[in-house]
Amino acid sequence: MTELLDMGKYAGFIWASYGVSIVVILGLMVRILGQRKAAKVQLRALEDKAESANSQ
Amino acid sequence: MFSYFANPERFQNLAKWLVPPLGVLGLLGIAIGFGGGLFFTPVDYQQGEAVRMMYVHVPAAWLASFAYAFMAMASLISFVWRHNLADAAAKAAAPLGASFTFLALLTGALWGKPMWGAYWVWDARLTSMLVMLFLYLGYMAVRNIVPDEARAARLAAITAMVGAINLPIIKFSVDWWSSLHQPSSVFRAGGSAIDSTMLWPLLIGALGYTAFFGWLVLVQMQTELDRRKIARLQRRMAGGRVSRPEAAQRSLGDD
Repeated sequence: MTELLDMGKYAGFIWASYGVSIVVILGLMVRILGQRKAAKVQLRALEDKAESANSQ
Repeated sequence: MFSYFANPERFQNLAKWLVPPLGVLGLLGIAIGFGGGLFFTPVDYQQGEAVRMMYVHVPAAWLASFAYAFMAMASLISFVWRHNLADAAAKAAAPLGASFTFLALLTGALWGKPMWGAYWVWDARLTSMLVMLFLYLGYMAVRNIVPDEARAARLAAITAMVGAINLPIIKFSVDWWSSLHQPSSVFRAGGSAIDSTMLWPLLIGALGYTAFFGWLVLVQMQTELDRRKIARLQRRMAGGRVSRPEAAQRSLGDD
């Protein structure tokens, strides 16, 4: 296992490049899926509000 | 074809089917590409272990250019045919393209330091990639600064279309100018110069990145359509009574 993870003298550069890639990918995913969820919630709340306003 | 997909309801139905498999394909492809590149490929006879950075740098660089081509094409469709969904697609592609351009530049710098002895050189390939990052940022700035949504969309579309001139410059920069950056080694006349034992994680990773991009573009387009519906509902609620199905119908029809 240790042998598998040993990237020699370039280890810092290799792990940093994979690290930033994972951070950016996960960051995009979390941000975009979060915005989607928030928009859905807001739309549903507005539709409910419109419906209750009309039924009064 | 454009008019067929111009219907937001039809798009939403299609997106519901496409979003889950694209998400799975994207994340799986990226995981296999990264895992394969890190642990299951041989070291390069010249670069040694440093070659493992190719599996994060190259797919990011490919996707950065692909996303720009996608954004420019969507902008053209939006500009010529006033296709609102194409505008939403271009708007969705911009932050993703900017992120992957940034990632390509950053991973390139990390790869460049041990190989060239410098994080950055004013090389034609690197500089044209930096110009592409500024074009993405410019596109997003125009969309945020101009208050009128329709005008912002048209100005941003012009920015994206004019900036597309940079794509062939990126592609051929390594042939046109003397460059530290290596020439094309995968998509070139005479076939790939990379051995198949090193090529497979690169291609799977690139496929994963592309699916990931498609997934998040569709999700952002769905969000954009919801936001437009929200804005219309808010305006109509402020102006008068509107039923829920009627509101939804009108919002879809107006898009």
